[in-house]
This record gives sequence, structure tokens and C-alpha cells, in this order.
Amino acid sequence: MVTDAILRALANFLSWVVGLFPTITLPEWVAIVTGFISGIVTQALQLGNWIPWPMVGLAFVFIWGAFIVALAVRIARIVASFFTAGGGSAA
Amino acid sequence: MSTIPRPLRFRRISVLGTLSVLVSVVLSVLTFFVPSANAAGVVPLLACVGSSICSPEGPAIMAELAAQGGTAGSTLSAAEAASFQGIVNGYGATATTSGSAIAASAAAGGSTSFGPILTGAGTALLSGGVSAWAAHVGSSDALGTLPTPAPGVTYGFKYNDTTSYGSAPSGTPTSVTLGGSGNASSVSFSATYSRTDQGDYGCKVEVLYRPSGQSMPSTFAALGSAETAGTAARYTVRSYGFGNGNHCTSSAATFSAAAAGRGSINSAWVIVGVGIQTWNFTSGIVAQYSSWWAMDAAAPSNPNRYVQQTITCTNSSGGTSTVTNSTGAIPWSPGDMVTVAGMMCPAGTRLTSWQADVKTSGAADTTLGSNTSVSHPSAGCDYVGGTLCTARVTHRVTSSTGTSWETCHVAGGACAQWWTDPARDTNYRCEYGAGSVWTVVGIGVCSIFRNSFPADPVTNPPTVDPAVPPTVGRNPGDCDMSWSDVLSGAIVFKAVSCALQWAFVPSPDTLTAVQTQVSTAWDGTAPAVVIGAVSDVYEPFRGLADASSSPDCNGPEVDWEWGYLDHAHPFATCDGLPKTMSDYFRPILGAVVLLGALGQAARTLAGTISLPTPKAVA
Repeated sequence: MVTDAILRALANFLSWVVGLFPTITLPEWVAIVTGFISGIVTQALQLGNWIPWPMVGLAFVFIWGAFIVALAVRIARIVASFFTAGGGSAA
Repeated sequence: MSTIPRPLRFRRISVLGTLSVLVSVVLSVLTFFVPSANAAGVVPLLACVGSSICSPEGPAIMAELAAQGGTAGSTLSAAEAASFQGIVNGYGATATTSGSAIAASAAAGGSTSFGPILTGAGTALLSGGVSAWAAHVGSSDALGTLPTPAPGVTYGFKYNDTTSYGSAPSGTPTSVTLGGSGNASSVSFSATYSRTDQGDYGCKVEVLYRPSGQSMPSTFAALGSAETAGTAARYTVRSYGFGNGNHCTSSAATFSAAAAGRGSINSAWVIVGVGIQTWNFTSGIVAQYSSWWAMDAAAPSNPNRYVQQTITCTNSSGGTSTVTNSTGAIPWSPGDMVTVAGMMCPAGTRLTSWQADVKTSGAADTTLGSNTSVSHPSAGCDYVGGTLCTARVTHRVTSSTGTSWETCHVAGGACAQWWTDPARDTNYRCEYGAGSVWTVVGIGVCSIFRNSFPADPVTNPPTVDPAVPPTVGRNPGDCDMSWSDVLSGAIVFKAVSCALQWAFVPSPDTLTAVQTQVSTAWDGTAPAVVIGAVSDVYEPFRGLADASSSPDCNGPEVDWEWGYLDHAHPFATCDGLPKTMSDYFRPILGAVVLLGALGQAARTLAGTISLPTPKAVA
């Protein structure tokens, strides 16, 4: 009963918060664009006996993964360059 | 001497991989805009290899399959439209089978929600070939006498029944028996079909036949058009309502050419196949299709025969995707049965069409099929703010401020006996919609909820039979007490345990109510709509990366718009040279793409850690 009461109070609060958002209806062109994209992807998917789509996906993962790693290394280098670690001229 | 990899080598490989991806994308777009590709003469090169349209009967097959599509827009009277929650579909115009079966179904009270579906005010989506009604609107539990079959008229049967009886069906058909050797003036088949899972199910039997001694015709009229004696052979599909309404518990039906009004053409008919189809309604939505087929009694077994099902699913934005399921090669012997698994649309999408094709590569009966248009009793509502419309039951609440309707899908037990309530039509109503938009529909649509609201254990405690002794709990948390608990002292532990459970363990009803409340408030809001739209765009891409899915060997279907070459599969790889080519091409392309990607990744990383270039090494 205690948990029930808490859950109901939370639900009322969440419903109130969510109710603050306006209700909208998407314009028709969104459905057209979505249907267009879905149509192309569906056609592409059905070419799966010729094109190894999972491999293509894996290739994108490799390329973008390398890019992200490279970006991280460069950022790390830049940050590390701010720290001299006691170095500098001994003169 | 340097052992450092040469970036230039990586570059060549990565360029090759990138080109492969580009070619793939171009091919995809090409098939999407196939009319223009066709005009350019690109696609015909592959059109007839391994495709069903290569058979001499191919154009006719394609034309007939196209003709079986649903017909939307038939005008209904207001009474007909109001009765559409209870419709049995079948066509073939025979009172021998369909009339009695459906009348018996109506008398037994099958509440059905399948067949021709109301698509809007006064309009319906009909199954392929249905051109007239054997209508008995207003006679709630009887069809009466079916009209005399008329040439050129294919009837859809319906009745106005909103009551459900009996138990839910269970199991699968046990047998389908084809008559004679396949050349027979009549064929009998029987099946014990029922299911244990709840929900509304529709059943029908389809018979595929053609006159004996005739090959597939090169031309014939579309389904439902007039057949006259002495005309050329026909290959067609007839469907019959089957079983006791949605419960499908009937076990036998008989088909005969004579009963179907075709005996005057040729007394011998080749029964090519008999199929039993069922479809399942979940929350008022057609959610699943299943079928069982016994095929080709006249033809020898063929190791290349298989069944392919295709369903089309539509999302909230109107975008469609198809899901295909093939059985793989099944060397059926005549009369054997094959079970095709039911198919479901992804969550949030609705099933809008279903088709099952029997394909036999390399034989005369290459592609045969059953083609059914399906929809759901949407009452004009498919989605509200990206949320799939469903059915719900509400009950009348009368207070000093007036009358209101509250959902039954929460705890409280107010609707426990709603289906059998004598004043059901006054106290309850069925609504269809989502979020804050709900439309009142026929009460029969909500028959699936007839046992969904058990009595609340607090406000409506179940009656206890005093003759049955209470059981002793086996777990420490059980709250059943016995004298042994008192004597052993376990009663203290049990009392505390039960009190804690009562206080802190939320009831499933509360969890459901909370979830419903929040999701109802969320539906239709701006973020929900936007997220739904983004999800709709993202959803198709998930299939591309799914390595576990096996693509359909037919490849994409393209519309040539040449009339007789509609629905072609120019990239089919089911057998022959295309299969051999794709078996080699696909892994090679995969390796090239992967190597290219690895090369590109290596270049990126090498540049990052400042590996010397070939020029610097030199």
C-alpha cells in the first residue's frame, strides 16, 4: 500500500509534468520523407543477397571508430601539452 | 629498409571499398526508381533469371495475383457499416459449405472481426474478388438463405453478430485430405483446428483449382469475373468461411466444383492446393497471420518447392516495410502439409497486407499464391501522435455531476463481469483510439477483453468453497496459516512477512495503472511525436545491420508498369546462375569493403600517431 501510494503520487506528478508539453501534429511532409527513406532502405535491405549489409555496417563502425579514437588521441595530446611536468629550460 | 606499412596501399584498398559501397547504394536507388532504370534498359538483363515470370504462365500469374488485391471504397449502408465488427469473409458463392458453416457459426455465436473491414464512414476494404454481399444485416444470429450464385458475382458473407461464445481455439490442423488423385469433381478436407491462446481469430479455407487436362492459361479474366462453359482453362482461388466464427473450432468443410457452380465447365478439376489460414486480432488489430497448406496433389513432389509469406507493416508516418519468411526448399509429396510460421509486424506498426506464395522453381506451376488484403477495425484511427491505436473497454460512471466513462483497464474489478452483464450495451462501451482520442465502436471489437478484468480481491473478494480446505504455503512468504505454524512459532515470521508484502510490494494492477496513466499523458505531446517520427526514420536501418536476418532470395520487387510484367524480381538469387554469382559476389564484396574500412582506419590512426610517410622514410 505504501509503495502503491508513492507510485501513484509519482505518476500524478509525471503526468502533470508531461501535460505541460503542447500537443502537436506532424506536418504531412514528415510522413512523406519518412516513407521515402523507409522505401529506399527496404529496397536496399532486399538486395542483401548481393550486398553484405552487415559488413558495410561493420566497415562504418571501423572507420568512425578509428576517427573517434584519433580525435581522442589528439585531444589528449593537446591537453597533455599544457602540462610541462617540471620540464623546461634549465638555464 | 622500412617495415612500416605503406599508407598508399591502404588508400587503394579504402578507395576500392568506398566505391563498392557507392555502387551498392546506387543499385538500391536504381531499384527504387525502377521505371526509369527500366527505360534505360538496365534491369531487363537480369529480369528473367531465376524469376517466376520466366515461365510461360508468368504474365498470367502476375496479372491474377494483382487482381486478387483488396478493393477499397465499396459503399455500405449505415446499418452495414455499423455491423462490421461481425463479419465472416468468404467467396465462392456456395451455400453448401459457406452458408451452413457460417450460419452455424452465427447460431453458435462466433464474434468475428475479420474479413471485409470498415475503413471509413460507409466504405470497406474487401478481400480480393469480392464484388457483392450475401448480406443479412439485422438478423443477428442467422444468415438466412444465401442468394443463388450468379455468374460474375463473388460474394462476401457477413452477419451482424456481436456475441462471443465457447472457448478459445487451440492447436493446429491435424490433417487436410485431398480427394481422389487430385483430379476430382469434388474434394473434401478436414482439419481439427483450434488454439489455446486468447484473442480473436479468423479462419478461412482457400482452394486453388483449375480444370483438369488444361495447362495454365495465357489469358483469362480477373478473379470474380464471369466464367462461362467452354471457356479457356482457369486457374483461380476460392475461399470459404470456415469454422465457428473467430474460434475456428469446426473440423471439416467440403469443396466441390459443382457446388461452386463450376461443374458445367468441366467435371474434372485439379485441386492444386488447400490452405487453412488464420489471423489473430490483438487489441483489435490484425497482428498475426498463420497458414497451413497441403499442396499440389496432382503434381509429383518437387525438391524446389517452398512457401513464401510476405507481410507489409505500416508505421505511424505511413512508411511501409515488408517482412518476408520462406520455408526453404520442402520436397512435399502430394497431400503433405507444411506449416508456415505466423508472422508479426514490429512493435508500433500495423499489418496492412499479407501474401503467401507457393513457389516451385523450374516447374510449370512456378508461382501460385493466395493474396489477401488485411486491415483492422480502425474506425478511422491508425495512430494518434505516433501511438498505435488499440481497442479498450470503458464503463459508465454516474455521479451528481453527470455521466462519464472510465477505462476498465485499471485495477478495481468494476468490469469483472462486463461481457456477460445483461445491461452490457448500456453500462459498457468499446472504444478505439489512443492517447486522448477515442472513438466508440461496436462492442464486438472488444470481445477479446471478455476475460481481461478479474474481480478485485479487496472490493470483490472471490467466493471460497468451504468444502475445499485451505492450502498450506510452501514458501516463507506465503500467508496461509496453519496450526503447525502456531506451534512452531513460524506464525510470527509469516505475519511480519505478509504485513511487509502488503505494505511495500506494489500490486500488478497499480503498476499497470501507473504505466497507463503516464503513457496516456505522454501520447500526443510534442516530444512524444518528435521521438516517434525520429524512431520511424531510424527503424528501417536496424534491419540493414542485422546479421542474423537472412534476406529473401527473390530480392526487391519492382513494378515495371508494363502490365504483364508487374511485380518482377530482377535481382532474384533463388537458384541458377544468379545464386552462384551471388554466392561468390557477396563474400568477396564483404571482404573488399571490410579491408577498405580497415585500411581507412589504419590511415586515420597512423596519421594521428605521426607514423612516417613513405616519402619521409625515403
